[in-house]
Amino acid sequence: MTELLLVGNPNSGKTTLFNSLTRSNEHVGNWHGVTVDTKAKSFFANGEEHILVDTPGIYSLCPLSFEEEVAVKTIFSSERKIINICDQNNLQRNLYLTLCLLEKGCDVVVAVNEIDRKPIYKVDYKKLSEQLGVPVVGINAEKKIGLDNLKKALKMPRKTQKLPYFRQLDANLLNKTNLNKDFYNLIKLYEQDEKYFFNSGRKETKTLFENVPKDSAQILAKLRFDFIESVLNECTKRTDKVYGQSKLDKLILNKWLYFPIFLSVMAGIFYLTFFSLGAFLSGILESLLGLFTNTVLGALEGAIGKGWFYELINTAVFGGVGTVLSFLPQVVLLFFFLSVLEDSGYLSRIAFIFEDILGKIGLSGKSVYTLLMGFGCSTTAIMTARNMDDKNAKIKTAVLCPYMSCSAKIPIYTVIGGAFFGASNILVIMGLYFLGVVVALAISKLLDVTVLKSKKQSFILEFPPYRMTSPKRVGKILWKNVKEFLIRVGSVMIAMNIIIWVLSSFSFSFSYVADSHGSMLETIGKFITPIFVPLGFGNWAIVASLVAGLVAKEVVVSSIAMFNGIDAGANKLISSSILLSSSLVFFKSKASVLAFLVFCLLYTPCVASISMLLQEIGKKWTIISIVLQLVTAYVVALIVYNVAFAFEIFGFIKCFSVLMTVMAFLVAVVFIAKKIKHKKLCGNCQNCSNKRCHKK
Amino acid sequence: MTNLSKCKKNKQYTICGFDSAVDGVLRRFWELGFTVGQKVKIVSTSLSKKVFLVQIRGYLLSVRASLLAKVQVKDD
Repeated sequence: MTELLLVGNPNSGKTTLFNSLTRSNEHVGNWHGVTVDTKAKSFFANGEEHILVDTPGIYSLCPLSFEEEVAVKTIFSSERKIINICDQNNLQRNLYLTLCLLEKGCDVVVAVNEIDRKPIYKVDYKKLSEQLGVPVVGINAEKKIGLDNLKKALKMPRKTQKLPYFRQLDANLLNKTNLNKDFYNLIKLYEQDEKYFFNSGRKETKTLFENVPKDSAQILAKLRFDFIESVLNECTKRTDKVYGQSKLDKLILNKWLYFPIFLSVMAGIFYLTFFSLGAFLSGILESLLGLFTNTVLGALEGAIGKGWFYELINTAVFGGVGTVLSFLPQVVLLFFFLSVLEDSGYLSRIAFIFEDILGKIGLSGKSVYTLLMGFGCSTTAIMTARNMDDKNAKIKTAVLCPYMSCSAKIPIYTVIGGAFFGASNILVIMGLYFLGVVVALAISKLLDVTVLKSKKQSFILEFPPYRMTSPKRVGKILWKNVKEFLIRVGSVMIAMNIIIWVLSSFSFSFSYVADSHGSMLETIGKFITPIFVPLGFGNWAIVASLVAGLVAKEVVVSSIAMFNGIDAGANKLISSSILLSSSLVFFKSKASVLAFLVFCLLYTPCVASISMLLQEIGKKWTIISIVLQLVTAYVVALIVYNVAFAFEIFGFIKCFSVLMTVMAFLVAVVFIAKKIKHKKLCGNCQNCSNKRCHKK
Repeated sequence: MTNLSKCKKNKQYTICGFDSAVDGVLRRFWELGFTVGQKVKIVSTSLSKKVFLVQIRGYLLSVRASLLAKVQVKDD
């Protein structure tokens, strides 16, 4: 069994090819840096089993970000055949990496991915293969075209290629160092790649470059591009199209329209997910589930009667889980829209738009991808923080992910919010999503000015062309998310619901208590409950459901449904009326419901996200992140409760006037503070960056 | 001669040098095709003109203006 490496520029189609060859369903997207770690799976070619290793995208063998380091380390770790995938539409830049691999002496097969019907480059593969000295095949990774040719090319014997521009490099530079005479050392001397020599075991690296011309790295880059241009002139016909350019950008990147367009897109996604389409599909599923569970429970009642076992199945399995299961269409729709956004190429435009704002709070436009993915699932979003160049920015982005409202919280907002706010719940849900973003940005700024000051991010991001999501991919996205949701509901949630049901139905002396009074959970819950009294929801059942939500956020709703005896047959209307009149989920007012929803939005993420944080940012920052989230959730929920309570008591106009006065006061304080700071700087103009400074 | 962050929109310039010691950002610029003699054009800017959309070697890149200040260009 031989191992093959899949290497290429970001967004060239590596994971698409990986999926096609190994019949996998790994995450792909029209964005730079979707793959942040290596993945391996076997496939058969030429009667032999191979292990294919997918790597994160790189531009050269000098890594800049964490995920690039992963790819380069994998390439350097051992000698394996490499499938170098190049995007046909951006061949000039993609071949730069090919040359880097050939310089290293790698055994390479070049696969040119023909993504579009009318490509920018029309390639003569035979000529290109002769020029580069390695097999070159044309493929379409998504449509699985040309994969047989690629498999045949893998059989071809290795060739060592001396590239023509090697002659122009000054080999004497090697003699001036005590490095061994390996030609690749000369290349790395030219690149002034300190990290490479350090990783090769050389402790002292600074003196290595004493005799190397200052502009050597630039000279080498120019030699490579000059060679590529000459090869492409010989082997390709080029159109005048610019890769990534679209007439649509005149509208989308219009300075005055880009924010309204972005807000409209996001509002459209949320409206379709939570209300029109999502609510419609959710209603159908709810009816089907009701029909199914009533039939099963009827049969069960006939067989064993209405004992404790019947209650367990009715409330813990069908009641609790059924409440969450009916949200399957909404969760899947949200993931679907996020994937469409990802595939469309619009994310790079959003990064461009938000770079200004995010740069000011110590993040970069590249964080947009991670934060938007956080709306789907925090666990996977945290991992994508690897495409940050700076360690502090990576930690900060990962810490911020859980503040973005993940899809698991949809049932909480819809069931609890829907019961108490009715038709106005759309505003509440939009407000919660917005609040999550605002709090995340505020936390980022706080971290940036205190303990996680990050250096300016090197925001250089490729603009991909706009693309439509193919129907095949739509199917794959839907299937993947349905499967994941059902597995989570069928395993973690059922187990948690049974544990909660046992804890809430039996006392410490193991006697059955039908209405939870005197149960183990009530006894434990009452210890923590006083902490939440200032937030307006000091009720043991709610506190217990919040604790249970640490395992998975959906459990919050299923346990609330269970405590209130919402059985399997109850639809949303019945559930709402039960919750409104419930004594166990006792919210004093709408203000306390709002505080509860805000707390759910901001408090500690699920166990899976915590373990991902541990893996990505280490123990210290994970603990800090958890504590920070708990404190933030408590403080923000307290503020929301008190403000909303005041609105309820004193009326809208009075409270709005007071709120506006306080805000005006705060704005004035900030303005005056800035003026004073500016005056101080003007006393020492060396540090003053103000263009309007009176001395300039 | 000027630097790329001070260039006008939709006007073609030629790269004539780089204004900094070798660092990660410059290395990335070279890998992406910013080499001496190469034609380059600013296609769009953000509202505050802190991020530029640059056309080079037949593709587009969005780059922070402060980074583009490292690239020296001359008017064509």
